Amino acid sequence: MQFKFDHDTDTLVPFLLKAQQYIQDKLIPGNNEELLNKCKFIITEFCINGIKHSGERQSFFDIYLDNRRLVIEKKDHGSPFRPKAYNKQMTLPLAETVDTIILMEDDYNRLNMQRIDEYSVRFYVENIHSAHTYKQQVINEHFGLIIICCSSDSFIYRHHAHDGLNIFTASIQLL
Amino acid sequence: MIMLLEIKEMDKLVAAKITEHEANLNNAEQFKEEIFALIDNGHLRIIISFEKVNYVDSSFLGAMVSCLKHALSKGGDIYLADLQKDIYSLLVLIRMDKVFKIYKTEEEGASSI
Repeated sequence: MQFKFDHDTDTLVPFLLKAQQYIQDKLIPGNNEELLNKCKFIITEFCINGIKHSGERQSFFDIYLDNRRLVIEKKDHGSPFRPKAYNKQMTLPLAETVDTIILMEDDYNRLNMQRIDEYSVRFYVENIHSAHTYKQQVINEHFGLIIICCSSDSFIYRHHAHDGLNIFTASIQLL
Repeated sequence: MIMLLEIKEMDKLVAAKITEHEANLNNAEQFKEEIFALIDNGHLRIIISFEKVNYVDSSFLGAMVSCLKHALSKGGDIYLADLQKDIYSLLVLIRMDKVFKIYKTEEEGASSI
């Protein structure tokens, strides 16, 4: 099913509740608190991403089951994702020489972006074990992509160069 | 401007209760300003109560980390309390439970700190 999200923080919570209700009623009936929480975190951050970065007024969400995966997909025609690694801005299409790059790293998490092809990438997070003391800890202040990675089993971004469509796809493997 | 935080001075620290149900992009900057003002006025140890909050997004988490860094740089600290179960789950998921000292309730925090 497709849901339209108007890029306005005031509409975010009602939108989130509607999407959660749909997941609970139609896709995964029963009491699955952990899974529903992960869906809530992913949808929230997709919405925030749309508001903050797309430059568009709305985005569209497809939420569906694919075999044993729950898929949450956000689509918009806004600005393409522009990865930034160590303050170096990159643009699509990604050169073939790009493989896996670190987008962000602190004392707890390392956010990686792996090239799939010139217009698509996969994000994943690795845990870091800090050697710093509590008072010296280095902590990142940007959590959007990290939350989506940690809440899903797969998180992919694709851009369609011919029509400008951006597709963010997060999927959760069902037991 | 309506304050986002309800402040209560305690023995060794200040308790700051978030008065909104949603802690998000809309109020993250205000939260940061109010906490920074407390720290800059010498209230270096602050326990933040999320009792009323049922929703937190990445923008607000970023503001919380910014406040913690500011407090630590001045020799202070920020503690969290009264987190709803799903907000606590989010913090664990992204390992922020290792960044912040978290107490079940404001009272528990106040007696332990």
